[in-house]
Amino acid sequence: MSDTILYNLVIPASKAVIVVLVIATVAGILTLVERRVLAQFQIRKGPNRVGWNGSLQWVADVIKLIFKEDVVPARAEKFIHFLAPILMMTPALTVYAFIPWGPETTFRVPGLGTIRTGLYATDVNVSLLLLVAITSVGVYGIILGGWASNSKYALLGGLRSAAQLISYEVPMGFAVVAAVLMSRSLSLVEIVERQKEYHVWFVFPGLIAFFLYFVSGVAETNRIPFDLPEAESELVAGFHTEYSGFRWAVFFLSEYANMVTISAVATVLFFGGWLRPFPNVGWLSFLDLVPPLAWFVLKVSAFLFVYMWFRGTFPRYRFDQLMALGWKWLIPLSIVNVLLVAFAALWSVAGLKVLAVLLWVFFGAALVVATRRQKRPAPTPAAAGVR
Amino acid sequence: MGFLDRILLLDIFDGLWVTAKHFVRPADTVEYPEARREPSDRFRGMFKLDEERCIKCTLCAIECPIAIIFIDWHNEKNEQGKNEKVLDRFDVDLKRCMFCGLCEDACPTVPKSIWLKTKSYELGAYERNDALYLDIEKLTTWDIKQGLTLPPAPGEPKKKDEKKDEKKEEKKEEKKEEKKEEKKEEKPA
Repeated sequence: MSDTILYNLVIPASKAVIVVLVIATVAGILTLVERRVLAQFQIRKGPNRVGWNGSLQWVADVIKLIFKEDVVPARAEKFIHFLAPILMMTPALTVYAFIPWGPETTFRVPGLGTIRTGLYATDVNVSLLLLVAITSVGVYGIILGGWASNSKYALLGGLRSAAQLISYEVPMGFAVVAAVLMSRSLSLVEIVERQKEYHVWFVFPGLIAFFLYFVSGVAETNRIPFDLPEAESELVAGFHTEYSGFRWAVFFLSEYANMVTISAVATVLFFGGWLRPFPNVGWLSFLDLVPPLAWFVLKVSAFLFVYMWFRGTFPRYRFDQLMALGWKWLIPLSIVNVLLVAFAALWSVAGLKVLAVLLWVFFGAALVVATRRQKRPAPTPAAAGVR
Repeated sequence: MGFLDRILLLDIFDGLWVTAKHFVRPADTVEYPEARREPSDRFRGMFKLDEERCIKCTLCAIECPIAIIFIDWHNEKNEQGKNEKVLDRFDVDLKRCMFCGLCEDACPTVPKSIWLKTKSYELGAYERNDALYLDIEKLTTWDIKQGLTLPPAPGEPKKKDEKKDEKKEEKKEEKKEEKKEEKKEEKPA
């Protein structure tokens, strides 16, 4: 087999297949993990009957969902109702083409010799832009699904998600811009390499950007506390109220895939992707024993855990609160942050470090002042909203 | 709430800290068929009737607020030639019972001859009328059939010997295990 075919066809194709399979499986497993973690937050055990300690519960769920009747409501727009889950899943899986799971690695494949290839499907030089563009297409699936169902709950969910996702796309975009300014590149692979080059993870100078990115990311994936499009207690299940069986599973799968995407991009932009902690400190080199892919997976899982932690902690925002938070706080803050980072980055790499020190000193001092000032008294019944 | 508290999101981190503390706690779950939780002493569960102690006064039936206890009796001459009441029927319509325990309060015998504090909460049955309409035979023997050792009836002297109690508890556990095994064997059939 010639190298051209190998490197241009076989390897990319196999990468694509592997990535899609892995993500579909991971999304399935995440449902189980989430149920177990949430249960732990609520001092119960969660599903633990199927397989060893419930480890096969997600397989049972998938099998059930595949064989369930697929109901299409009467007078629904049949074609769009059918199209919506696909519209949501396709972008959710497509973006994994750009996410770098690891650096260039050498494999020894029997029969083919050594292959040197990156642990990512492809590295486009504008991959970050593409990624942001493609993820925002996913909202069409939600809106169209909500509209085509011919149900008021679904329609309300779809409308809400339209407003919410468009609002939070803005601070997210600005947060990403901050990361781009710091690394001076739109390629995710290069962004990671720059973090090694500059001797600093971008979460240090980009503390605010990271906060903005993660909060908007939670909103973009319709997760608690921003799960207004699905709002169980108000809208039954929001935009996927009228979906059942495998199409519902596809919605679910894309939600979890989006979660993984947001976590992975947050890792790449702000937490040094596959780099070990403090990649330039010599005496920490024993950490290199852990392969880069494992570091990446570890960081992503930490973010996913935080997602579940949020879900176990916070109540849902009211819709006007959500909009107020997005437009009155996050967007102004993101613009200020972009200015800050732009000036620091314009100066030099040293400017980024100065910014990092300033930010962390400021927030550290503020934290000390706020917590030291006085022990906050327990809220009186009136203050707690009890009448 | 001060300005610093707001920009540092202290309340949010407070909330996260609370759930984090719960995350490391072991789960409170009791996995029922394998593990059982002992109800408290005042738990009102399945009825139990002691036919010998019962004086057939029908006070429990009178006291029952929804009239689900049905008692019939007749007189019989005993060995001393005296009249003695004999139960013909003592039925409890358990499907309407609200477990208020007034029948137990009304019972004048010491110890009580009808009582609910048996700590037994497994009231399920495969047929609707199996367990929900109880007659004398069921009321007096269900625990023996199930191989249970019930706590003493209210008014019955408690056994003071602790060692005996411990032994009894052990026996109880053994019996429960036996019961489980029996059930498992029965299921496939």
